[in-house]
Amino acid sequence: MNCAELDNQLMHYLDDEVEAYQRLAIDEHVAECQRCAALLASERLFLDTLQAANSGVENMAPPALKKALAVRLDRADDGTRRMQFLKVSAMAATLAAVTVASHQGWKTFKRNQYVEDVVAHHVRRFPMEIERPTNRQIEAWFGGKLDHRVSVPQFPNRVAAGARLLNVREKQAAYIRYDDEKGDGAQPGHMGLFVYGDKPGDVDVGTLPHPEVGSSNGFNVVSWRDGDVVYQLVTDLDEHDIQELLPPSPGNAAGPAPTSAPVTRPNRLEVQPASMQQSR
Amino acid sequence: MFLGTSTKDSRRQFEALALPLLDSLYAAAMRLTRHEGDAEDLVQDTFMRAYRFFDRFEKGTHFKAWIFKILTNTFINKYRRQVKERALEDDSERATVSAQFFSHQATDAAANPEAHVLNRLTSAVVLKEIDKLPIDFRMVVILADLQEFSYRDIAEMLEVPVGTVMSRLFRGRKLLQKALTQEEGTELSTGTDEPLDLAEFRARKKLA
Ligand SMILES: [Zn+2]
Repeated sequence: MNCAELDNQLMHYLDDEVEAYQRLAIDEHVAECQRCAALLASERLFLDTLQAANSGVENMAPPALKKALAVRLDRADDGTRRMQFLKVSAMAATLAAVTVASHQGWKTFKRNQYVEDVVAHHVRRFPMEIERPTNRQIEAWFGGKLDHRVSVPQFPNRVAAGARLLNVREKQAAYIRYDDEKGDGAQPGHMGLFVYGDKPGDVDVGTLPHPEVGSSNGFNVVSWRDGDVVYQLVTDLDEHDIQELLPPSPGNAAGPAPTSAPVTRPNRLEVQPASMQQSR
Repeated sequence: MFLGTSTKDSRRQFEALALPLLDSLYAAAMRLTRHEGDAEDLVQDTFMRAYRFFDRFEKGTHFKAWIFKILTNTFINKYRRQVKERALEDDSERATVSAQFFSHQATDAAANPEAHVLNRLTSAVVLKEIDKLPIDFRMVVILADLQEFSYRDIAEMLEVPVGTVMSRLFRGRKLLQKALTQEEGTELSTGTDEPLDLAEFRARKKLA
């Protein structure tokens, strides 16, 4: 070991990224070389100074942060339990369909067919017929193409990336693809929403804020109904993320109900027609 | 119901691992965002993400590295865009690690007792200079020097080669050393509203 070799290895030595034999060689050299001993001491002092600066009280988490975290964790737990309950009841119903061909079992069986079909269509990544539309453009574009009105729900941190017509089993549906507002589309968070008319009530799902959550092929499908119109949201998000997506945000609750909309629509807050939302 | 119990268990496990790291996460978030409110938001987002994906954490592996990866990713994806940062010039990435890490200036300073002024710079001054580093350098300095992660951990967190981590760390430290040396120079010469520590240093210097 000479001084030049030490210069090259000192950084790794200080960072504890050298082999034992290298460490030994450096220790031996430093014991005999004043220049390198001073260098080592100076660099160690520099790193210690950084460490010391970081450990001041002003860098410690404020108590309010700890409290806020506890509250958010509690909320996440509540959400989890609700979702798990929904999922378990769906599972129980599926089992019932297998063992007993009850009316409820039949409904579940049919519902699952729709769940599987929306996922199958979503993963095909069909080209969009309109790209990067505003919610109003989507509503206008579907107007006349479908026998029901398409209200474009808005989800936190998501933007509509495109829309097209697709069939869900025998029903013609509006398909809206959402991307993460800040993501590049490759990240998790991209979702597809199917909206179709179902007057006969083939798809037995609840209304918001109590959607059904099913899954197929690794995707979760959140389904709900608004009158004769069924919404099915396909996403690779897990249940915790979905939970954060769906609860109503207080900001949306404040606005007056549109005159065309039914008078009582409790908790349909994230799912307002575009006409009520600010254009993005 | 048994499901409730399992949620409780994983909550307890998560808290046992994550809560002791809260101060570290906050300190790192402060250096990344340079803003108390943003730092709190970043830590909250990191915590909630980590909790949601806790089932994907491989038990027995390095939890601190895992949650810090979430912190840095969340920062890069969400906050970095909000904070105006000067982009790194291409050359900075090409700096070779085999180059001499320490300048002669530093060596001379080491031989000189004045180098110990470093010890007397207040934490606030040191943190201020860290905060001024361009983000790519700052990130590795925070992770390596303030949080003591290994090169490999950092490479894995930032999804860059180990060589890139080393060159950024090398350059980041050099920038920081230079800034702190200058800081010390100006403060010694102007000496108006100096912190106590430097006044003390000057007093000693006069005695010497
Ligand atoms: Zn030497």
